[in-house]
Amino acid sequence: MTTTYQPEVSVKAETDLLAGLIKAQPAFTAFMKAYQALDADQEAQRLIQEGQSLNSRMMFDDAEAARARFHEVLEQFNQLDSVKAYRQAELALRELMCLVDAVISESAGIDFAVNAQRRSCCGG
Amino acid sequence: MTLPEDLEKAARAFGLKLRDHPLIQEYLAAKQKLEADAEARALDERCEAMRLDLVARQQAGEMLPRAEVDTYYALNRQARAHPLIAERDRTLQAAKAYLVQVGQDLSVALGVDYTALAID
Repeated sequence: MTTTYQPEVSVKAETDLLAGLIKAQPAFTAFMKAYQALDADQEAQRLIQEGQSLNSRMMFDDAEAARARFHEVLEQFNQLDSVKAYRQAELALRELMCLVDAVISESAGIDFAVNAQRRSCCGG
Repeated sequence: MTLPEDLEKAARAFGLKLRDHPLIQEYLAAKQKLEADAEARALDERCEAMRLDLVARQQAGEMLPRAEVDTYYALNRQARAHPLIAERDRTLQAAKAYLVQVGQDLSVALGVDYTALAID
């Protein structure tokens, strides 16, 4: 019986080139800068931790109080300059990535990002 | 926003390389066979339209009537049993497994989660 060898199609070179060009885009560097600024913002990090704690508490006895405080924390968080800058930078990067994905998907003949999503073990 | 020429060229080359993979080729062939069959295509489209409608209504807070859900399940079983739809589904799952790996490699190269950012 004759078997036909099918060489594995490697996309590594194209991946590296594409990633390099994306990382050189102003929207990408602005996003990384905004991310680092948010990470370094102690007030933002404190509010994130408080928000996470309140989120857990909302399942227990003082749910009402926790929910009210959560909304206050969220409001304070949304007003921070580092948060606003991060959200704006993320929006710009998303726009870029969606455009890149549209080109990839058209060439590939299949939606790339949608079908490349990892699913959780629960099918989510 | 439009993409810079070199980035668009690289994205296109990346997509074309994906297309070359046997698993993507198998999926495209199965998809073409399905689309060429009017009856199978109509069944597939009817099932998908019903699914999207039920999902949208459920997400809007509606309690879906049991009878409608049962009708959808019956139609879905019929669609999944159709050989052309089953083949398209099988090859799509295989293609997805490949694309998940490629997506992960791209995310590692970028240092950010590509799929989280590239889906509208």
